[in-house]
Amino acid sequence: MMALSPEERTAVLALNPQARPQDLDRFEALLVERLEAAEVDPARAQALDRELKEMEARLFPRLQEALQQVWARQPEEPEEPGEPGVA
Amino acid sequence: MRRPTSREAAGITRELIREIVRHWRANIIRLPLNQEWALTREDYLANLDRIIEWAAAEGAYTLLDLQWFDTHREFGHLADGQVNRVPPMPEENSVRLWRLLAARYRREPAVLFDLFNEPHVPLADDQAALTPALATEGEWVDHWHSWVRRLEQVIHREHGRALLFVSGWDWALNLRHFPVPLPGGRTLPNAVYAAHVYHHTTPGRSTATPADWDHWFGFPRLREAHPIFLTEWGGEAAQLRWGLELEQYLRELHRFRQGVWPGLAGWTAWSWADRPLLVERGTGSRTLPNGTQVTWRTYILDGPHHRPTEFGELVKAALGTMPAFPRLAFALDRPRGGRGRFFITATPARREDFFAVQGHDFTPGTRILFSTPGATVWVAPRVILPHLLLVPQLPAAVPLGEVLCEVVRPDGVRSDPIRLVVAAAPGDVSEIYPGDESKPAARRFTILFLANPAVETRTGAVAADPLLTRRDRFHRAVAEALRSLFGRRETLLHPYALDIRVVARFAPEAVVPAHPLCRQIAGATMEAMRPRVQAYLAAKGLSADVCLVLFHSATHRRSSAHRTLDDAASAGRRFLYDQAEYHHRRRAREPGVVALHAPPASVLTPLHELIHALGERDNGGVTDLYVDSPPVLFSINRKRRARAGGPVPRRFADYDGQSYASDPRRDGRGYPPSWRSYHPELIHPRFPNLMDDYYYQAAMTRCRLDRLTLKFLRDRLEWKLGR
Repeated sequence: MMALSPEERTAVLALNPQARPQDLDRFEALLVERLEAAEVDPARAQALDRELKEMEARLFPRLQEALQQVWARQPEEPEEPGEPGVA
Repeated sequence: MRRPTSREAAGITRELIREIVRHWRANIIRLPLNQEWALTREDYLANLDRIIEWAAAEGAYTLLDLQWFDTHREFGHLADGQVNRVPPMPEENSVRLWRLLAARYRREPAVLFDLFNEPHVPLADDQAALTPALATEGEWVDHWHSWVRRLEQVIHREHGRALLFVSGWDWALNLRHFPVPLPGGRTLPNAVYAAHVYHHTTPGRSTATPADWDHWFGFPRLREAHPIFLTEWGGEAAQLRWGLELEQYLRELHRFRQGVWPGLAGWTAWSWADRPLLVERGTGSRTLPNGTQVTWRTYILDGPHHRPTEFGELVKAALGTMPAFPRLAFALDRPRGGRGRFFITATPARREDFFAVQGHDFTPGTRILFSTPGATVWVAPRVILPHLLLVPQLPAAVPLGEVLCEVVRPDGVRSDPIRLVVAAAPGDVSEIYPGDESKPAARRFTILFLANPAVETRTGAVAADPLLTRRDRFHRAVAEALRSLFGRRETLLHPYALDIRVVARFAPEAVVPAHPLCRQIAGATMEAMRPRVQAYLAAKGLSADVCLVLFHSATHRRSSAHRTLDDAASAGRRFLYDQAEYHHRRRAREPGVVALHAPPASVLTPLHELIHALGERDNGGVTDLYVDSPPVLFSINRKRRARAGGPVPRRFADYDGQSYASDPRRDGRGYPPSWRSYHPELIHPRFPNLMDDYYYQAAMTRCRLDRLTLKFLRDRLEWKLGR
């Protein structure tokens, strides 16, 4: 999974003012842990799912809304930031 | 009037270097030197500086070759009666020469050192050679080895990293007496062993067949332990068939096969100025006012470019397709000037479907031309890779029925046309690139793009994936993904591009409980379900090593991946990571899977996720570096310190007998004080880690993998490609 972009982070924290940046870092770390746990330890993955769900409800109730706002501003194709690729 | 310099007299200009590097596409120029001039003439050295600078500016190495001592000494006569000016052994001045040049170019990485052109037993009538009278070939070879050791010491004392080219014995043909031994069982450091090959049929010295090449320089004992290089090969028009076979032989020794590099580092062909010639030369003449006739040698040009000889055409065509293309398309039965074929193949042509052209040396701006007796249609591919042009959906403007298709590069080079029949409707499955066609499709390493039929929502409901109503979106996303995998600065997959099969499937599906291949999870993330994907592929008669399941969602757009589950019963390549034993396996029981949003969130997302999927669940994979979470799976690219903020250990890990350092500064950003995690050393400080938070980089396309991960994944890929 890739990191949230700076715009996505800013939007998530703006719409969820009760959350601090370190809460978002913790949420992201749990998500990575959950994806790995799903491969070998379903019980741990389920526990992490519950923890993530609880955290989402408590700290990031408008996470999806924030991300959708950012995505709505994005073009259909990914942009070429910085220097062009080697192709 | 100013006297022309030695460089000018030799006709070496900046334009000539550009011709050799840009137009002929050489990346190494072997430059024969005159020892006396280099030791006595500052202008000669200044000219050398200039040539090296020009070549380096074009991206080419200069291989300095000690070819002649001076212009007057003769070393006997060759069998055809010609004077031989090639000395049999170095002399004391050769030591001075290499000391001087090694010191002069110690900070110039574009310079390589060819110690001595062609060591040989002095010819019978050689009166000039200052060599001892030795009785046996073994004594002569020892004598040459002792010179090599001496010159190596002289050069490496001045320039510790100099790369030395050591010629074989007997006019550089014979490498059987190598490597050069050092005391204590060591061998010469930083050395490449170099051979010269021309067509001979003399018994005992034949170079006519692959068996002969195997005998003289291509035998495994040397090349599997030390790189070899052909510093001279060439010929006349009558030897074209031989040259073509030799070129193919060299190509095979140069390319990774079965996970192993056979050991040929490259070649330089002889010669731009001397016989046998690569380019046509003529004679210019003029009568001076005093009646004296002056003549000089010229180059023959076709427009702005040098006209190749027949053998030169072969060499030029070979350079144009090295190292990427597995075979040289050079047709001896065609007339001169048209033998180097620009040969293409293509997928079936179906309107609205992928249209891919496979070939070589495609450059930005390359276009595809479709023509019928009544119409021509130009199509610009969306993806241009050196080996592949991809049009996401063949436009309706391309006429139905039989058409001729050709590729036209911006420099005007056109491919051989191919005949296609354009169909009206797209198919379900497209093989965009066939991969290594020497194997059945089922054995090839395969990347599969699959349109996701349905999604499992967070409430457990099953919903159709909206992507299935947007074929155009799927096709464009696949194109972007291919550019991400094969066209970015991270070259992980580039060396294997010709061997990897790429397939895409877009087909309507009923929404049934068995069909969701992806599910929504927390954080607006989509997850691919590996066992479901495996079952789905089996039901459809498909197989893959990595499957990218493309989906579209208004609410869960973040992509994710799960590692491959290897088949423990298939052949394994054992490796050690910090003394623990693991295995790469030839085959997967379940493919690595990616849930990839269409369109991808960034230009690097497909590559980033594919890297996750290439790893193996229990035998090592690649984890994200932008978090500090405790490890769940064995990941080779992240470790944790005993306490947060503690010092970053210098050594990161030992992998397969080699020690890898840590990245002390995390891409230059620094590790947060609260973190315990640390990462492996970057390939270069300019290239931040692709598995980290690349959004913080000024230019995310600069990102690459770290050294350790790149080595690990390439080992893994090569093992699988070798099945």
